[in-house]
Amino acid sequence: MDPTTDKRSNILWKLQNIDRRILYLLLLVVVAIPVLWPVTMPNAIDPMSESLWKTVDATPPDKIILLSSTWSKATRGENGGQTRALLEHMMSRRIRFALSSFTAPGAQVILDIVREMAPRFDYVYGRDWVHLGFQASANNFVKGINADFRKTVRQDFVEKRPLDAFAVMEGVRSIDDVHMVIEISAAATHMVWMQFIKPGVLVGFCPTSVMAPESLPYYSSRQLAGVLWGAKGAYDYEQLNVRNGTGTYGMGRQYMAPLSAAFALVILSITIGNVAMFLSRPGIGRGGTAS
Amino acid sequence: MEGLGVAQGVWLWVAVVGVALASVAIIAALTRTPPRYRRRLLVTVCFVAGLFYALEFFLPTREVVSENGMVTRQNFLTPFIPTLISPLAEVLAAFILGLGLFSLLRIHSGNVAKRKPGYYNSVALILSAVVMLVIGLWTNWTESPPDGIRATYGYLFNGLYQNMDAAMFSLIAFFILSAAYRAFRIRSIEGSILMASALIVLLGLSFGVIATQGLPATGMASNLRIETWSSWVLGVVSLPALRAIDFGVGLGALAMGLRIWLGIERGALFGD
Amino acid sequence: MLHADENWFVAVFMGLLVGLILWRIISAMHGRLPFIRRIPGLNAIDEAVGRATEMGRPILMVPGLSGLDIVGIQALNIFRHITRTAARFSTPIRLCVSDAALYAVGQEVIQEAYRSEGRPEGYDPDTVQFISGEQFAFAAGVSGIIHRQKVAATFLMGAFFAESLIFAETANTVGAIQVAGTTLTTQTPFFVAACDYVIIGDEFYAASAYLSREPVPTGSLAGQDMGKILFVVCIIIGCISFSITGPQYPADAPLFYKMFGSGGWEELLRALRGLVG
Repeated sequence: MDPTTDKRSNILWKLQNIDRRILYLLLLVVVAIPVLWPVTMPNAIDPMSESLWKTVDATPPDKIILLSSTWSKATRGENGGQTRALLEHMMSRRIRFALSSFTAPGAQVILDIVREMAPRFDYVYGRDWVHLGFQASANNFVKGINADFRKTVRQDFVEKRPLDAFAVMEGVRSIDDVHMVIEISAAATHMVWMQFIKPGVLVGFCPTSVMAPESLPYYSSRQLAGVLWGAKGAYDYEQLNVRNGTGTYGMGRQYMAPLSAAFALVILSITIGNVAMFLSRPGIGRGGTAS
Repeated sequence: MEGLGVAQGVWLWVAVVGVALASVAIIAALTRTPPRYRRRLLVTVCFVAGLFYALEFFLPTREVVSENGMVTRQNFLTPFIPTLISPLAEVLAAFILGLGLFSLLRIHSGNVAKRKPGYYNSVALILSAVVMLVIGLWTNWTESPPDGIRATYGYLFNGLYQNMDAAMFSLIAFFILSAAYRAFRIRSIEGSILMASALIVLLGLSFGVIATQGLPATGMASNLRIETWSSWVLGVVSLPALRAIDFGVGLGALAMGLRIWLGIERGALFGD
Repeated sequence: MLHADENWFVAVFMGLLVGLILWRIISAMHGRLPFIRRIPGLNAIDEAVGRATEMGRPILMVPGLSGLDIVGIQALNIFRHITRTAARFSTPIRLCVSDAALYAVGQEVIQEAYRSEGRPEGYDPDTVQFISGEQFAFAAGVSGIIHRQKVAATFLMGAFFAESLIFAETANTVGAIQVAGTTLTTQTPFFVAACDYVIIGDEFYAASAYLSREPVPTGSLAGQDMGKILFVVCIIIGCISFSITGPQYPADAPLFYKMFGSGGWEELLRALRGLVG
């Protein structure tokens, strides 16, 4: 065999079989650079994000929003940005809210974020917000609050007192007194709300990018009032907040550049693999035709 | 529970111990029941539990005005959901969690006792579980736990556990890259379509918008923007397929649920 | 959805679906068994078990984050079949679960599978393991088992979320043959990219009928197909009706809205009375 052809074939074979450790190292470098030296990425706001923003913004003063947090710090990059952007909007509009969670870590992470943000907006626990805590049985929680919050949740998560002790729950008896439910999640927990919530109650969903396609059928059929698609959704919401004077840029914008860099590497690696495969086909580069 | 009163003080402990003993007795009795009768019992319990929700759904409802002035539609079974079914489900979940913990400790203590290869991993697991359990209970048991305990809990939960959790999740990014590199090879027309769709969506959700941001956001020219293409692929091409799969999955779940409820399903739950 | 009388359409539609499924089950019990097409992912079970037997390495079965629900029970149905095949060849198995309730049932199922193959002594209680109820602790635990025990085959069947690719890629690094199936459409692409065989959508539920060929699941499968036809008919009616009523729905089509919207029985009767005059 011609040594030149042999060498070329060898390179092409290597390009089709790059060691996964090299790919992992490249990804680490590519993501680390925009994290260390932040870059602002341009963005086109998704209509699903805009729809959620508008629905939250239209909350009447006598109603609250129920924010369900079913995520842990594992998905902080996506769900953390979404939570902060949503809370900034709600707090700047002085919308009262209740927190709940279908997982134990979910109850804690959102509590930490609200506690950190509350002083900036003069939000007082019990007056402006309350935490209903971790709900072990998701289905029964949703079915229960459809009828009565107080019978379903005996005491709050923070002060362990009955819900009647909190001014924020004044006039909030059942799901009818909730303007909308927003599920911030790393899983397909929007299905619990889709299946068991009283018809007519608005539901928003903030999933991680991996889970977002699961929600598309429900947004399209208007069963979901809006969707924030992972970190991009957080960036969309931040942009809407900035545009309307209800918040600032945060984690969404910060993580958009590393995300784009990672996508670029994925596209590049796929292209390299395919080009190498194409060139190594019999006939290519030796005066023949591709088969 | 409403109407039953809530036990306090010593009576609370008496109730806890009593219920625990009764539960152990029930579990022991069930374990000794011959499989044939146990299966019948399982089918009956399954049917009654399913019947509750079926009747609650299908029976006519009437408007009920509560003492708070709240109007809801209920039938005679509805009030049992928040007052009986929810607490029951929570108690069962807690019991079962104990069962899981028992399994974990049994397997790993066995590894340590038999000095199986890598038994030190089991030692680490048991130690971690015990430390977290003690610190977690101590933190939540009293109104104001000692500062040292609170700080340790914070270090273990926020400093250690949550970050290890995040590290595991971040692995997905690496795995997506290696899986995409290996799998996305154009070997057929279907493969080409799949890859073109993936590229459009990837570009539309990230830096791809830079290429077409000069185009107007409305009018005919907006159709050439990459995010419009991306939305089209997701909303027009991918969405109907997702819906079709979801319909099939929903029907499958309904059929399986029906078979289990009626006790005509065999296999894992009810045996041959 | 709360009650049947608050949305009559859903109640009637559900009744129809249930009726169709039961009808086909009864037909199948009377000997009218429908044809089931080939499902490559399920055919691959024997191949994967055979390979594990040749290599003398264990088979790993994971139901994802499924609890003791429909998905989890169906996953156990499939694992039961795999275990019976593995028991015949004395191939070691591992079942890792993240839900304690499923763990309890899983233990029973696996033990019973060994017993039904006449090899009760082959059952080792440690083959069924509860790893963790937390998603990524579970992912870490299962990945560790894949690496340490160098599993020869993995069966990932159930409700998977972000951890799906962690399992599939880790198993790929140890050269395991992989068969995966999930009801969650978001995870199917990851499995397609990383696994050898993938069971898509309701093929997961068809597994009982495909593997056992018994009248009840087979008839139920035929009933599901009739349900799909009903869905298609509804979609066509919906498309035509929406094209006629136009974009101002429901304002332009109050009767249609009352029939298929969230109206109750009374509203439907009132609308029909109005139509009759």
